[in-house]
Amino acid sequence: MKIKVQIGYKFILGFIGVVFTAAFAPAIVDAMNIVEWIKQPLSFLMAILIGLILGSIFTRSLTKDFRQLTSIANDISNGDLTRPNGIDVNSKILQDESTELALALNAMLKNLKGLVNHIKDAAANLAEAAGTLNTLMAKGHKTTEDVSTGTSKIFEGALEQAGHVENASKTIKEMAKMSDDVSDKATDMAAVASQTKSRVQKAVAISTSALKKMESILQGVDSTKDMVVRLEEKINNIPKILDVITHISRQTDLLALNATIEASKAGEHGRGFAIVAEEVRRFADNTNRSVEDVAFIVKDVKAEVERLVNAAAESAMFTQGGREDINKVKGALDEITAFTSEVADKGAVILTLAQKQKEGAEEAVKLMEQIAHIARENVSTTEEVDTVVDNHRVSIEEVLASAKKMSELSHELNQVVARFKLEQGELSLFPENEAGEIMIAEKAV
Amino acid sequence: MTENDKLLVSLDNETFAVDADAVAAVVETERFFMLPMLKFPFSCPRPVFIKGVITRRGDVVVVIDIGSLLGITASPDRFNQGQAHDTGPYRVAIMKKDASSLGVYLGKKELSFLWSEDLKSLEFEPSGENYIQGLIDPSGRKIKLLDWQRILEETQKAVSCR
Repeated sequence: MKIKVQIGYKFILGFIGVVFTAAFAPAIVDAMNIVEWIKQPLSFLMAILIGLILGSIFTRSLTKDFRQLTSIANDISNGDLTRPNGIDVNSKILQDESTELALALNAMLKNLKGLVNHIKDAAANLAEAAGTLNTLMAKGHKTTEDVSTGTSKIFEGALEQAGHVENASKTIKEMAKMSDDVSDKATDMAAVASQTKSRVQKAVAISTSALKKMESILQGVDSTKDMVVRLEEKINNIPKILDVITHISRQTDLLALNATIEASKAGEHGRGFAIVAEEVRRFADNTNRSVEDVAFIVKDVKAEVERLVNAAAESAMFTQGGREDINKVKGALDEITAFTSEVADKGAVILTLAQKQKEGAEEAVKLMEQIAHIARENVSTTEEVDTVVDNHRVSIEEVLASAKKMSELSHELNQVVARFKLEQGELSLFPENEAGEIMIAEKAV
Repeated sequence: MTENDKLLVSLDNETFAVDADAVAAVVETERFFMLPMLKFPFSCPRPVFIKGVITRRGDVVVVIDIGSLLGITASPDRFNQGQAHDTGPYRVAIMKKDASSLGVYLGKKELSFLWSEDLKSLEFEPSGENYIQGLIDPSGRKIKLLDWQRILEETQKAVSCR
């Protein structure tokens, strides 16, 4: 039965009751058979008693309510929102402002619960978000650091590259210069080679004519040798003839001797004949002696001819050797001609290649210049990038700091919110780990 | 004897002469045929002066070497036909008297004649040397006149020695 009676009325009723009692107490007392002098104090006492009783009842109920309310408020102030239904208002018979207060408090409790729940959720989300942000920021920071390191490396690399490019450019310039020199030398060499070629051709012509002359000399020597051999043969015939002559003269001598002998046998008559025969003998002797002289001469001539033959053979040998040598020389000169031609050609080729090389080197120099330019730009760009990345990193760090702060705040919020106990058995909604970071815990429902 | 013409043979430093009448001919021969070598008893001297035999007009003629006969030049060895420088056809003077002939080896020696007219103006000195009749022109050329018949006898003896 819910009758709403205001506390004032209850108070008034009580008071009236007390007054009533006080008013009617003497009547009652009078009705009682007690001594006079006790009647007044007794009635006084009865009125006080009833007043006390009613007062205590009233006060107790009132204070009970207020105590309850106070306890609830205390709980709320301590953060314990676990009362499911707040104050049990249905148990009161007479409801008054305290009931209203209780209801209001209930409503407040409920709303507060809801709010705290909301805040808790929000804090949870915030913490989660803060955590994610932290993680991302950490990642981002790390990434930025990596990028920063990377760009630093790129910067260093770009510097190194620029340095290398400078060196390469220098080297290529030197190369261009050297290929210039090579080109000049190749030109000279080509000129020398062509000169050599013409000289060698002259030498070949001269040696060819020399060879021909040698050939004719050899032929002359050969024919001389043949003539000398024939001469030798003919000379060899002479002794045979001399032998014949000798034989004849000897026979003549013998005959003359015999004739002389026979003539002497004839005595006086044979004298003339004997003398003639003697003359014949002498003549034959002379012939013999002449033949001997001729034989000597022939021997000498033969010896000379033999020497001549040997000399001719020797000279033929020498000439043959000389011919072979000339042939070799000619062969060598031919080879030299071919070789110098080749050299001249190769010199021309080298010249062309040297020219191309020179052009190539010049082009390379230009390209190197461009590369150097790009490298330098690279360096400055990298510097800028480095700065940007550095700034970015600083921003990231600031963001990180903010994230950190946010997580600290969410942590604080959590701590604040954690003071509120929403359900029984709940110790804390967001237990923190040792690092102080907020973990997303599951609600123990 | 000394009136007739003489055939002179020069032999190293000596000059020998023979009667021209006795000389049948002077021939040339390529070789001498060896005598068969008989077993000579000690009493008979070896006929080293015999150069060999030749044939002339069907006759066998024994040829002797004056040099070795008279001991002037070195005796030729049995296996050596003559002096080293004598080669080829050898000249032999054939002395003939009646049926017997003797060949005188001349080799390459110089031959000349001494006419009887010249002989008259030269002295002749008889000599007792072996086989030498005498010495013609003893103060000049000292030509030894050979006693060829004695040489012939010796030769016959030597050839037929038993």
